[in-house]
Amino acid sequence: MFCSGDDANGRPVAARLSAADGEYPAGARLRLTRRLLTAAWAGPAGLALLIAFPGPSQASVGVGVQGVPVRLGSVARPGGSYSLAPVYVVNTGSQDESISMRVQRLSHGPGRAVPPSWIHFTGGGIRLAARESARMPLELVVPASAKPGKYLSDVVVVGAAAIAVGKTNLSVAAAAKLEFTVGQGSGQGLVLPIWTRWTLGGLLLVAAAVLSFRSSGLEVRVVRRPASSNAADHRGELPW
Amino acid sequence: MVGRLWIVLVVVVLAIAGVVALNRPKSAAVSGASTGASTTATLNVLPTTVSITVSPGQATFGDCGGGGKGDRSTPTLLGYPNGECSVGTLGANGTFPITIDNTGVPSNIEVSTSSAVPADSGTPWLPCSARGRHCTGPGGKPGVRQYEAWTAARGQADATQLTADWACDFAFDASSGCSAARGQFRKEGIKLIGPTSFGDPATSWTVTVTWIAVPP
Repeated sequence: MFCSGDDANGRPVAARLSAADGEYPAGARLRLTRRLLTAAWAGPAGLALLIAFPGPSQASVGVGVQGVPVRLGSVARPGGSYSLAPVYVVNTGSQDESISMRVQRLSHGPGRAVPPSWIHFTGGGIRLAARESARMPLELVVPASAKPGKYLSDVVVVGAAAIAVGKTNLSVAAAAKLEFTVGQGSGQGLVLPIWTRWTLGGLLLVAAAVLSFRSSGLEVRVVRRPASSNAADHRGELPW
Repeated sequence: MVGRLWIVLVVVVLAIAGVVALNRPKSAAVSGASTGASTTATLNVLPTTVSITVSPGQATFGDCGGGGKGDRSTPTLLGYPNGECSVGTLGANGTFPITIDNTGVPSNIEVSTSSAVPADSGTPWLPCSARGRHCTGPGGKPGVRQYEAWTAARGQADATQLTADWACDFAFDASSGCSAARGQFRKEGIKLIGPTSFGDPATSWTVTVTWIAVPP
């Protein structure tokens, strides 16, 4: 292509814009080829880098927890403690996350809410890399004063990346149902401290022994035997 | 003499070939039947977990406006009283930069927000709303050390007001519920109205918005 016109001073100028092969010097063709090659691989390479190492702003946060409810296989007794099956937790995000757990009533249905203090997270908080999973142990500690019946709450697993000050931090959580039943205590509803139960038991044993002894008709006679043969002479007098 | 040499050579070559043939590993087709060779195949199955993914993990408020004379918001700084900022630009033709993806079994998606904590760890702003802690400012707007926030998606009739308690994310269910099918995702934005006055000299505040997947 051939263009012509006038410059700022009114003098005619001409410029040639053409991609014809014969019109490029060899050095210029080489440079152009290199630039085209660079552009050809730089685009996909940059895209691959973005996919492999997403920037902090595009990184995702994610968390998952087992879909099966956390259940106690037997009926819990007041005053007892029980190991629950470890809870499966997974980081579904694309970066490291800190994982924490707590108990909260979210599910609808019959049953008392589980007091959070009854569930002990023996594993504590953990950190999981992207796509990493873990099983976190739980312990149920039922106080002696627990009311019998069905209990229902949720184990809430929260995943969060490092907090960025001055930003809106978006975090995630997932919940698994927590179900168990508390049966009657050994006091059939009357829950007493352990020492009281032992004392009452001891008293009951003593009372039973006294009663059975009396009903047997046996007598215990206490007779003081004289210290010597002439003790009769001094009857009524104490020897000392 | 030469004939005998040839015979010896042929015998030697045949002997070597025989030894090689005997020591050669059997072909794959034969070995599969005779030596119990096995192959490994991986079977991927649908996840049975309750799980959720939010992208990006952090966002910055912008598109700010409102505030009083002399204390009006700039495009990136919240003014007072009751300046407004958002993540994305909400509205019919807005942008909704946060993707919430229900990556597990069908679940209910709920959302909550934290207090806004100043960078100097001073007194936070508490979230207020019509259904939770009431906003004490004029006209029902946030009062001192209070803020109000919503999430919204394109075409969503009612925005989801955020409180410290979990609330149904209505973006997931057109019938005013929050049930999400496996793999269902929504793109959302957040809007925030600030307090009548800040009550702390900090110029940077941190808010955490949390989405939760709950088994139905």
